[in-house]
Amino acid sequence: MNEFDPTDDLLARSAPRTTTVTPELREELTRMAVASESEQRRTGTRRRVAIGAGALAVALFAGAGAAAATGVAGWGPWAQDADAVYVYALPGGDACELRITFDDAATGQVAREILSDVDLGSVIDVDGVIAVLRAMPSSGGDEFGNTFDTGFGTEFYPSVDEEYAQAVGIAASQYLGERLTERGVAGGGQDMTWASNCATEFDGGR
Amino acid sequence: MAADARSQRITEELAANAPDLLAYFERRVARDDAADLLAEVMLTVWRRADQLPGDPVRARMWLFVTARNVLANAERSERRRWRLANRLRMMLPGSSGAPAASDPGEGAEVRDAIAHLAPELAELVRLVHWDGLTLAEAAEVMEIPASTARGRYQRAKQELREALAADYASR
Repeated sequence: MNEFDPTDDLLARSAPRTTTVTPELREELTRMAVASESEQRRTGTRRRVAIGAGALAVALFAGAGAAAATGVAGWGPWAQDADAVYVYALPGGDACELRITFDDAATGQVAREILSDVDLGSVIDVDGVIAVLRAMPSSGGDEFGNTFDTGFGTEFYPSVDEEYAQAVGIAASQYLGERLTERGVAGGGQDMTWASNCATEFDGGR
Repeated sequence: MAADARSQRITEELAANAPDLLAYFERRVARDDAADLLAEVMLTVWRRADQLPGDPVRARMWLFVTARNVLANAERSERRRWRLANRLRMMLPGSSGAPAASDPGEGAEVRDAIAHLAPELAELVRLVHWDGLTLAEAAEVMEIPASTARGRYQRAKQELREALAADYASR
């Protein structure tokens, strides 16, 4: 790229305009960098959330064609033939549906086999996970370097419904992870994409 | 490394590279989506903190690889709105509407020519000419050998020259 090439100039000038980095914008980006640590702890792991359960669970569908059980409207292509579809109720009464698709199709098949003869409500401990979440120290920060408590009992802690959904996902993903590991599927082989549709949409906070 | 020191280092790397990562997304998707994708990168980095390279240059490339993967994943899954990005979303001009990359005006025909390249060629050109990476860095971000990147880059440039020449000749 040492010789002058007029195409280089055209290409450089074709770059779409981006937002000017003002001191205010830089401050906000720094705030996000700081806050993202506690936010990650609060929101849990996107690729590890799965399957709901507990006394409020109303149905479990797993296996081929599972997505057809609850309809496919509103879901992206990845979820049209999900490895697991699970419908459950939040403590507040609203229904939620979670769908899980493993990145690796072979893992997805193993997960379908695991879920085909398991009553998740009887094998996962949602209340136990909630207890852990409430006991877990959590702090946040702002752009001025201040830190503050974001754990249970503060205004930053998730609502009861969100806490429940989060705990269901964690408990179930732990269960699935353990079963997959037992079957020789470990590490990145357990990566999954999940999403939840609820009657009430969470905004990530209260 | 102590937990506090590790957290501080990750925060510093994120803050230092956030403007370039935001620009990376702004050049490829609508600005409000760019804010959320940046938030997702930050959350992903904390989740995979043990993989962050110790060398700042390598760490920067790793962040771009993460950004590229987040973008690819977003294209095949639900677009998520993160509370973490709420303020940033409001700070970006023209937050709703078409991607910046589809704006008319200067360079529109060049952007169109790039978009008509094979995806792996187009992204290589964007990384080099829009994001300012060297060819070696772009190869690292795309996780391909440098020699492969050189070959692809030459092919992309040739195809662009031909496309743009034809475009100007037809006016």
